Amino acid sequence: MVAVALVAYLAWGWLVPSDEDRVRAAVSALAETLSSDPADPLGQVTSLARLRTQLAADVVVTAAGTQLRGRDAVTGLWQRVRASGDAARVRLFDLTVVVGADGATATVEGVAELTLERGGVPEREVREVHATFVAEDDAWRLAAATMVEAITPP
Amino acid sequence: MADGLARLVVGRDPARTLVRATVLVVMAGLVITYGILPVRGQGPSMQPTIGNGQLLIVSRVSYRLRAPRRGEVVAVRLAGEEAVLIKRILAGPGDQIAIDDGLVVVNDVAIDEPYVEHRMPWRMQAVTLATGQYFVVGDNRGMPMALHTMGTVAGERLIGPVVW
Repeated sequence: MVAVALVAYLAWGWLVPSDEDRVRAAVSALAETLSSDPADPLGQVTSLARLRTQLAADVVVTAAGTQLRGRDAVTGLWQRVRASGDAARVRLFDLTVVVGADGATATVEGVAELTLERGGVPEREVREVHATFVAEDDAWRLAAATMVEAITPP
Repeated sequence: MADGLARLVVGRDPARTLVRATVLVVMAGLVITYGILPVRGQGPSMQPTIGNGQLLIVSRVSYRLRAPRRGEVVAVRLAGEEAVLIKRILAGPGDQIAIDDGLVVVNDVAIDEPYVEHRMPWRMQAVTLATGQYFVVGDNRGMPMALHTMGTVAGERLIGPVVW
């Protein structure tokens, strides 16, 4: 009886994910898109198309005092990074997801790890990230992301 | 022989051995969960003190009992604890810190830093730390200052000192 209830509970969670689960899935999918292989031209095109669907039209990304506004600006920067030919892997972890009472916005706090392979030598950078996702057309999209400096430079 | 091995494993009183083993496992679990944080060093900023891939143990309880101290190597929390930054505290709340030609000056006194191997001529204007603020830097001063993560950090972000 207990086993049946457990299986039913797990099946329900899998078939009908909560908003928090869907936001976490959107975060993972975004990291996967950003990590696509620059040596794969077809993958580049599909990743760019996918990235556009994962960003809100008026997305704002803030890092090191610089702000990028709009989907085109963000995808443009991503394309320039990819054009350098360096393989990049993005991982997002230590996530705390809070979905707003309206069910239309969610805040995400976590850590972004960027590993760049330059000439076969990996360079690793970790930053705390605070992000906002919005629900649009039955999908959670990145609306804002801010890189937070745990250590404030002088 | 078999009896001897069995006695070696479970002792003379198996029930008592089971209780002891359970207490040990629970205590070890509590220490690992709440007492320490194992961290693996990555990157060049703390060299030569901490090498790439070196295993470190951070105390989670020290700063519940006392304030962080100047000179300690500490773990700085990001959003969680899967990845932390390892740095050295060079100044605390109320201190004034500056860097002149690579030499760190705290409250107008150049501090002795035997752990620093190479120094580039870093320069930083004097900064006075507010309440609850600490100034942290890595030990690798042979790298360009612009590539080195250093600066002020809130005390709440300090998880604890590296104890091993």
